[in-house]
Amino acid sequence: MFKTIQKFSISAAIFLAAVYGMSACKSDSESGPDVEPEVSNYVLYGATGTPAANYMLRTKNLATGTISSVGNGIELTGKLRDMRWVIRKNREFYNLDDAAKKLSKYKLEDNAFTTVSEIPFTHFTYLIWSQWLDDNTLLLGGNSEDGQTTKYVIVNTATFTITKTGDFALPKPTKGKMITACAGIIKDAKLHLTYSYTDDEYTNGSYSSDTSYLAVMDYPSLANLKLSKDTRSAFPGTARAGAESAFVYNNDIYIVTSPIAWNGDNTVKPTGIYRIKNGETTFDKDYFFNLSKLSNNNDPDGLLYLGDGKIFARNYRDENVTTWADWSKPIVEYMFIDLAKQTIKKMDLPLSYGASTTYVYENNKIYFQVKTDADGVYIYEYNVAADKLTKGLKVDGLSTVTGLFKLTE
Amino acid sequence: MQFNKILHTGLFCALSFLSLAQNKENARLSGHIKSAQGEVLLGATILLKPASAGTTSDSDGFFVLKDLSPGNYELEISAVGFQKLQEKISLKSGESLTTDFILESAEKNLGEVLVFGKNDSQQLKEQAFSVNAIQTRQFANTTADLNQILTRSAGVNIREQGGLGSDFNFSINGLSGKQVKFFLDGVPMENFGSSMALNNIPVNLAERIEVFKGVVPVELGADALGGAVNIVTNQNTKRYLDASYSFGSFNTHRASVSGRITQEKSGLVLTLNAFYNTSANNFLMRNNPAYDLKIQVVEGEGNNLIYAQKNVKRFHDGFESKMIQAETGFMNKKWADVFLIGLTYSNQYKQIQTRASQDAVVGSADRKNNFFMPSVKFKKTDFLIKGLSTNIFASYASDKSVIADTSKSTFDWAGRRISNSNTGGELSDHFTIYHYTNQSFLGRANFSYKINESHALNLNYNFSAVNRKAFDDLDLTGRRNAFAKPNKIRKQVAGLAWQSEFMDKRLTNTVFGKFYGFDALVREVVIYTGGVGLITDDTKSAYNYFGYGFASRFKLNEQAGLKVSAEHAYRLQDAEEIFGDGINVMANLDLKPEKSDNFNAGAYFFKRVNKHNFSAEASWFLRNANDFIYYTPTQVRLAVYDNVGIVKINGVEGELKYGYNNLFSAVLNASYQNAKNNRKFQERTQLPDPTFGDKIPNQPYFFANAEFGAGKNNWLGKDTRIQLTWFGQYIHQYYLTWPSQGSKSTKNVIPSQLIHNLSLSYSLQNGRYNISLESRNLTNELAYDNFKLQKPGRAFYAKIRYFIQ
Repeated sequence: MFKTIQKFSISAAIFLAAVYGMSACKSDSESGPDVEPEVSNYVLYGATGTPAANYMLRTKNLATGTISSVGNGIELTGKLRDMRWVIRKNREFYNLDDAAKKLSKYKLEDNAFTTVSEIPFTHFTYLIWSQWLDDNTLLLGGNSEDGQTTKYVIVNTATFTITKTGDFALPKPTKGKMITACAGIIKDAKLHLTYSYTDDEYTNGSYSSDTSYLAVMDYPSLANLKLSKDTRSAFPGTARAGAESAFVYNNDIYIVTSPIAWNGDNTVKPTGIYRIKNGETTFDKDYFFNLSKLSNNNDPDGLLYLGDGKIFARNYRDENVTTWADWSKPIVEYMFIDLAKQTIKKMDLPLSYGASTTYVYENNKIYFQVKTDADGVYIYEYNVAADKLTKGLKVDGLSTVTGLFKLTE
Repeated sequence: MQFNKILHTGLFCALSFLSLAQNKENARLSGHIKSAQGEVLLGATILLKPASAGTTSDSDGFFVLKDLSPGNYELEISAVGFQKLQEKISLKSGESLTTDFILESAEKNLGEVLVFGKNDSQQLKEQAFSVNAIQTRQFANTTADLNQILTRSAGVNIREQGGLGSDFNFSINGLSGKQVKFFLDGVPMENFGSSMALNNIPVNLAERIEVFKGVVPVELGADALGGAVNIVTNQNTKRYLDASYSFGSFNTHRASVSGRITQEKSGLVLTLNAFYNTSANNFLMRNNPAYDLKIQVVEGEGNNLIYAQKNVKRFHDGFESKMIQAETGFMNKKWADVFLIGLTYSNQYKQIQTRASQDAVVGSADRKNNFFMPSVKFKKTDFLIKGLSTNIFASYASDKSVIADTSKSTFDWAGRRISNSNTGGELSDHFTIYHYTNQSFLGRANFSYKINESHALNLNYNFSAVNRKAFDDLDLTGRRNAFAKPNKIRKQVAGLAWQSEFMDKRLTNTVFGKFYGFDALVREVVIYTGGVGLITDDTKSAYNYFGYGFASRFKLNEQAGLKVSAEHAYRLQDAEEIFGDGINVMANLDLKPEKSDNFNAGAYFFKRVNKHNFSAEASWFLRNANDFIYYTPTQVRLAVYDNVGIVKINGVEGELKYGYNNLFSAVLNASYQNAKNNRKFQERTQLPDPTFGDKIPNQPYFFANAEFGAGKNNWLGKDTRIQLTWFGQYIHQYYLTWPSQGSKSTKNVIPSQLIHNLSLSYSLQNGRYNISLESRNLTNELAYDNFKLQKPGRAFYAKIRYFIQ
């Protein structure tokens, strides 16, 4: 009998050892090697896998070489929203967590992404627009949770405290509608706030109303409010603080509209650029740069103002889109837009899968992501002066790059 | 005691005016075969001499012998591991005699109970299916609910979000959530309301729980991709009462009553099951910055609010549930073995404390549920033709829920209102008092036909029809409500199995096929179209699928055997997955069901040497699963459910048990499952998926349980037993995201946990009176089953229980 027990316990021990051994080996080998991150100034933020995980990778060079997220990069899953809602100032990142109702300030260290400070934040749900009033003062714009009011909050980013909050005195939406700020920009002590009214009903393909609204007021008093509207385009702004909506060129303000499916979602109105002439309080009646008209009725988005009247943008070739899934096909092209000449020049590249709406622009060169079935993910360089495209950094691991930026130190 | 008296008196009064005429024909003998410990014995041989009538007991230990001439007989009952029972029996004309028979263990010393007799759990293990069968009797004196018992068994992992009544994810061999289906006595529990869930049904309501892994017999008719759990209640004891009450930490109180009386003459039976649970769940949330699991409390005023990190008690996690079920009817009649009509009512109230992670505190929203179900059961052997057994169940259920999310306040972890001017609720962007009504009909018909001694057929058909409707008190336009108009969803699952036995019953085979049908009419579904964008439209859908499988067992000898089973299984798309919720999720009418090819191979061994009992079981499992449905964000404004996951799971599990006499017992089991991403290409591209071959993240893959018990009979007096049990569970750490990606030092980890539990119980009068003390998480381990959702720390409970049968 004793023999039986012995046999039994030996086989049990072997079984358990085998089970544990398997698990121990697997977890080590599958975690991948730890690669020392390089001290580099270019940052790629992206996602991989389904369900998606997010990583930030750093590199010295976007023009050449290979970078991989396998065993490399800082994991950021759950920390940041889509980059288009994140405000970045060099190594500082400001993110609003709507569920936890907290505003966080993070810092990108060389090997870590650390929380600098967090404060309770119940004023709005998304960072819709922002402007730095000085080095440590950040003006944030957003909408109340129920979409009945648009609001602002001023944050001292050095002490990370809220110094002021308030509502904008805009006409309340009618029953069943919501108001959303689209863009905000202060110029010459005047705040120019664009907004739209949206609908919950999905019956006619126009989530946002057919009208673009503009409010101009004194800043900081918010007095002397002037309201106007325009129907040449809808949803005047990206409604994402981390994506470009408004810029100043030749002392005039330009507002990029965004009626595209995932934003204003107005299938009737074209995408374009409004102008507010210096000192005026309405959209310029004589100016509307109809981008859709020049791009086969598509809705170019992800615009970045490069300065000097030049814009870089991506464009979804949506003429063959019939289902939601078609948006995930390789239908993206990139374009260079000349504001003064009102022309667009499409990049001579194969159509890409969609992703990054942030680009690095330096030394008259633009860096952006192109993802194709043939090549995978690459960073391309467009030399504006030479009008020359070059295949640059190859990206492994990340299946999509949603943020691309350069640190200044 | 007093309660018992009242119950019995009441029931008898209610029943006494009823009586039924006796038959004046042949006699009939039926009953249950049990061990001295009350466990039903399957496969016992019943022989009536000299009539030469004979049969074997079924999985409920039940047998019936019919068409017997009146007279005197000698009854002989035998079962492996038990002493043969011989008894003289006299049957009168037309008599229908029902008696239970108790077999004594083959052991000489009858006073010492065998912990591991070859009871029906062991018998079930000898089934061809890969199954854990858990006798709940051994846990009857603990404060456990069914989850806490099931989590101890091999291959099962249950991830709880918090304390009593919290949401949970049930996993069998790596497949989980909607892929696992639950049954109560073979009836799917899908539309049974939220109170009838494993996270709060007390142990005393179940007699046995069966966990089928990967391959599910046709009797359990549902689209169970990963396996099924069948809760078996006490169906056969004619007269019993089990009443208990426990209380303990976090202001937890639990009471349960289960009982039955039967009027011998008329066969009239009345069964009552009820429970009541309540807990404040106010366990301590501990600040754990090392894992970025901070508990933040707001300090300061006005615009100058800051966070401080502290340990605080949960303040809005109260839970209360009650259930009462009464059944009455007849048993062991000529026209029916069982005919019962029943009524079930349950009610649940649950406060909500957090959103998906503990970073997001909720301080006011709650949900309520009211459930009401009349039902009817009919069971008959030799129905219409000899050898045909019929088992029919039908019910209508009304399930009403209210989710109230109306607070203008934002709360911090101290329960402080940091803002009182919110314009939307805590769970969604709007204030809502959302009423949700499910009306469902469920029908189940099971027919088994014994062709001869070696072959049998089993046909099972389940039909369910659900009408769901909702309204929001605070949204009079109905525009934020996808269910303003009723939606209709019908589901059918049919299965046919052929069971056969060869080689003197050493080899058993089951081959089966299953049919799944789904059709629905859903109002005002949000659909994306190219030209116009998002539109709403009424939508009809119908889908049919076929599954199949087999299960075989070969007995090497009386102690050991080999098993192998396989199934091509489906988990149907549910209505929300296809049609969306009309608010945040749009329809995906191209959605396919989840499917998986499941395979199990295993061996068992069982041996008794003198007073030592051993059993061992090990198995290897493979799940080749495709088209997992995930919530998927899209480019357009709404998300969608899409077929995304392709997963291959390879795993092993094993369990060892040892018992010495009635003094000592030990159980050890461990499970390792290597679930790998089997998606070669990124979704909708021809590009390689960088995470191909990676271990599936955010899922435990190695866990083990150990249990040691020591007890002594008649130590502190005659007919007493004192029992001390330690139970430990270990879950190895795992990553939140893909293991291969990112540098290790920055990766999010759900840390390893080793939880110790200890219980001490004392029984008097052979288990009639019981008192027990219990500690869960004895060492106050900081444990997480989910990322950023802390589980309760150390807790103490006491329980008193009265049991008689």
